[in-house]
Amino acid sequence: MKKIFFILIAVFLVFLFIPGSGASAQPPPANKVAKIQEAINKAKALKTKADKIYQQALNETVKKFGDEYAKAKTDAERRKVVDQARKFFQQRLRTLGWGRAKKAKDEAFQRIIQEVNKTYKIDTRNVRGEPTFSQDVEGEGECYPDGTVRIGPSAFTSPGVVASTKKHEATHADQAAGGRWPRGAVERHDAEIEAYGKEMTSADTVGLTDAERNEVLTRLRYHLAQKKVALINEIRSAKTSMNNDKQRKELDKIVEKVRQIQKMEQKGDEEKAMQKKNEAIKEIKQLIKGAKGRAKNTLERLRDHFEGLKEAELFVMKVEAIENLRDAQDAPTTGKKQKKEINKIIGKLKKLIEAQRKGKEKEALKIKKDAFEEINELLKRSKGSTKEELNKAKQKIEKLIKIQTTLVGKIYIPRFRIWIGYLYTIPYLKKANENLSKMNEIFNTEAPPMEKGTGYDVRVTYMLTPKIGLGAGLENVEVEKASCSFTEEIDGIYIFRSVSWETSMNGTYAALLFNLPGTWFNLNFTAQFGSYQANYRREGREIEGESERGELAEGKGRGSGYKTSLGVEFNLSRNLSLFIEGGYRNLLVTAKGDLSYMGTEDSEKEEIELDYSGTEIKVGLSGRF
Amino acid sequence: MKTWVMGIAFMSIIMVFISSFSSAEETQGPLSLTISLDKEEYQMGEPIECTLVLGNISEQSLTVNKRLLVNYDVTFPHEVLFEIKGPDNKPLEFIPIIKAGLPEVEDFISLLPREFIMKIYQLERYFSFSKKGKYTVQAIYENYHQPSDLKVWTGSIKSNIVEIKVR
Repeated sequence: MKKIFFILIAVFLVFLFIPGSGASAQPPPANKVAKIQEAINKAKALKTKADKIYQQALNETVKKFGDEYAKAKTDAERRKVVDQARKFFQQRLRTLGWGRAKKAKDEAFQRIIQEVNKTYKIDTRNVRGEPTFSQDVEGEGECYPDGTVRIGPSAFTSPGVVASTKKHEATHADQAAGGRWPRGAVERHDAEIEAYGKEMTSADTVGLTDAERNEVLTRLRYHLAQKKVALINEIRSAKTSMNNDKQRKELDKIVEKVRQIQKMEQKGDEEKAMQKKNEAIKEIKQLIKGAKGRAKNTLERLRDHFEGLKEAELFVMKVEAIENLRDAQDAPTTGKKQKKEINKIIGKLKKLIEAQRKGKEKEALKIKKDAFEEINELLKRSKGSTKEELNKAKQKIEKLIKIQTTLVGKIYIPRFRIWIGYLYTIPYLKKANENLSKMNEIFNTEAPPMEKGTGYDVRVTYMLTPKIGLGAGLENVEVEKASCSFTEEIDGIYIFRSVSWETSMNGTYAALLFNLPGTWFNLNFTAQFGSYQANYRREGREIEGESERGELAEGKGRGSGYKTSLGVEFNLSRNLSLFIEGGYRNLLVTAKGDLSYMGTEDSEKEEIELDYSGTEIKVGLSGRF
Repeated sequence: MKTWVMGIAFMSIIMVFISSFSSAEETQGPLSLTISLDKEEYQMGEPIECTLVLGNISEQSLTVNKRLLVNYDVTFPHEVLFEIKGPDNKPLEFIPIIKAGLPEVEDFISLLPREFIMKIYQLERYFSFSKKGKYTVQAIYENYHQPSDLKVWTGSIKSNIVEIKVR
């Protein structure tokens, strides 16, 4: 038993510390980060020393060969000077001891890479060996199809940037291992978008500063923009693979579409741009139908590029929404509780990116909708710059939802609301009760007046906006039957007396709903107008020995009325609420009936006013779908 | 016959004029780009060292982008592109994915007249010389970035073409 307990604890701990499982990853402890920063500073000092030697050798080379190079008349002469300059330069480097300085610097940077590995625990399973420091890497990093990664001096600005660069390069190594090493410029931009995207989504776990995050976002946007330039280039060169001039002309039109897309996106009209992309895909699909051989393969590749472009666009929008949320989090007007809530939404958007990466569209749509609603809720309680940034994030998610609708068809946005309630009413029924009193007098009974009714109400509303809805419903009210019956003995004669009065109504109505949504409860004001049918039945009877007298009347009538009510909905879940509503109804029905007298053939027509006006309370469940 | 001769002579004059005009544009610019490889013949798998020199051959100082970052093509951050054609005369594909941003202000320096910047590239890191035969190598230097407050040389120049053999 004890053994099992320890195994369970061990399993729990393993899950807790596996990146991506259990609790969200946190940046490493500040003291460890500071230690790496210290090592970076030392390595930079060594670099400065090595750079000085390098620069000295270069300056000497320039001084010695500059004139000769400038005076050279031909390519061959210049090449000769370059050869001599290289030899001289390399010799000077050796003489000045650059090799030792370089070695010391390279080792210092390599140790930092190792330290970052230990501290940040980045998943580098597809990186071949350990990433190595290389002076020759002009950017921050390089990745090769075999998973080899080189990190350059530019990456060593902070421990976070080193870790983020490793994450970036590990993403390329994953792409290579998964058979997704890019072919051509367009795919290379896709690969970069994915890698910079990974950097963005892990920016808080590696502890990137605002400026560092902005740089990553700038590069992400750069590759998205350049992808379109590369796409135009590829479409142009695809013309040589086409079977005929018609196909080539069509490709020219598609190039024009990409240009229009660029302009639309510059104006911030991503929705129209997305439609244009869809049009381009349609046209390419048409072209594919009539294409053969190489032309077909080329067109299929172009189609995939456009599909990829749509995905990339949506991805960047999500990342930008996360950035807006982060800015909202950092805003001075954001409270502690709000920060936590924003953090949750950020977590959701990260899950959204992951879900869409895995093609889980349904899950993605749900997350998007949830995030949108949660931001909406937060906005109501926000002010100043918090509100401003939240609004930006909201607009992006709204755009995403709209664009997604054009991409994958209709999505689930709860527009319909349904209420099913039990109602309790206190109708006036003045005339009907007067009639009952008369019958009590006639038949010597004491039937109590009709005072309450119960029934149900089902209403469906379509929300035109989050606050205003139009709907229709049906109601039914059964008034508690008023009756009295007894047998009395008078002078040895048994007399049976009975009186009863019953009425009910049902009808359909149109409703206008004003809704004030909140996190825990919503307030509603409803105004409804409808047409109702009311029925009644009354009976009085007196049986004395063999003789019987009595009357029976039944009738019905129609009337129209209105009702206004105020209600509170307590949200049980996102789609289900418990509601209570109180209101006043105005409904007067004139019912026409036939009155017949028992034991005779006599009958007559009568009219009774059924006044269903009065207060009522309704409780029930409401749902959104 | 006379008309033919006159026509050919006229065409020749035009051709000479066009070619002299274009070559003048390449060689008389303020910058000159030269590459030189450390050897003419390499064994397969051997390092191929390419020295690139960007020199100011004008009489005026020029502010240039000294970063000399090599990359895949014009749609990626770069200053240097290599055009290498293999034995089948097809261009070689650039191999690594480079993580780099756009140049920063610190990347720009003033190059005095008769000064140059130099960088040595290990070409086998960027391209696969996996076929035996002749290769041609040419470099392109480009800069279209203009940091504010700096008058920077912008444009594109091509280097000489170098032929090498891989055995």
